[in-house]
Amino acid sequence: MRRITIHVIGALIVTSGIVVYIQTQEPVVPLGLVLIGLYLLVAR
Amino acid sequence: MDLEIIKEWSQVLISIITFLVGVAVLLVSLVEGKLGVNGIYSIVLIIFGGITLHLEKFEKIEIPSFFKGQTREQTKGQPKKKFTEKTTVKEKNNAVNRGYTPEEAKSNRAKLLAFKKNLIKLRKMVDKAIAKQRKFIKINEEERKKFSKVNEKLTQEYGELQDILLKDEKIGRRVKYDEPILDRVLLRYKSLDKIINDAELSFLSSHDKGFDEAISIIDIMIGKMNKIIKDESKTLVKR
Repeated sequence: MRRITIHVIGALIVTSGIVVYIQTQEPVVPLGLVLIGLYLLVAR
Repeated sequence: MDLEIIKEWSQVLISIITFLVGVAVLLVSLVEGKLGVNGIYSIVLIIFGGITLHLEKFEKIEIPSFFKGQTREQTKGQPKKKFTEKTTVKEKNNAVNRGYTPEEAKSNRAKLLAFKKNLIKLRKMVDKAIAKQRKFIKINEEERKKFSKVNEKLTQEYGELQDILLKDEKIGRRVKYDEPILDRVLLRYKSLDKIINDAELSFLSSHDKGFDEAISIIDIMIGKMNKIIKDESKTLVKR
C-alpha cells in the first residue's frame, strides 16, 4: 500500500512537471519535477 | 538482469542526474548574476539529489575494504571475492562486509540454520521429557536414543561452527566482528552440552533441575541464534 502511494505521488509529480513545461516552456522547474517524480516512481 | 537491480541503479542514476542538474542550474544562475527562482529551485534539487544519493550509495556502491578500517596486511590473506551474475548487489556488499564469498556465506548460514533447527528439536524433546517425568511416566529406551542422537548431531554441528571460527581467526577475518555473538553462543553450548549429558544420565531420577537449567540455556541459545540469523539476514546472505 505504502509503495503504491509513493508510486502514485511520483506519477503525479511527473505529470505536473510535463504540464508545467507545456504551460511555461521553461525547462528548469519541469525537469526537476520530472526527476523527483521518476525517483519516487522507481522507489522500491 | 533482475528488475530489482535495475530499479536500485535507476534510483542512484536519477539521484546523480538530479544533483548534477541542480549544480548546473545554480552555476548558470550565478553566471547570469541573479539567483532568481531557478537559483533557489536548483538548491532544492541539489539537496534532494544529495540526500537521495547519500541514502542510496551506501547500500549499492561497494566501498573498498581499505576505507573500512582494514589495513593492506589484513586483506592480504583473504580469498578473492567471486560473484556470480545472479548475486544481488546487497548480497555482494554484505558478503564483502564480512569478508566471505557469497558461497561461504550461504554455507555458513545453512549451518547456523541447521544448528538452530536441532536446538529447537532438542528443546521440544526436553519439554516432553519433563512433562513425562512430572507425570511419573518412565522414559523408554527409544526416546533416550532419540535424545542422544539429536545431542550428537548438535555436537557435530557445534564442531563445524567452531571450525568456521578457527578458520576465520587464522585468516584474520574475526577482527571485523563487532560483537562475537557466535563465540558466546558456542560457549553457552559448552555448558548446555554438559547439562544435557548430566540430564541424560539422570533421566529417571526424581528431580528435573537439570532439565530446567538446560531449557533456560536452550531458550537463551535459540534467542541468540535468532539474533545471529536475523543479523545474517540483514548483513550476510541477507542481512
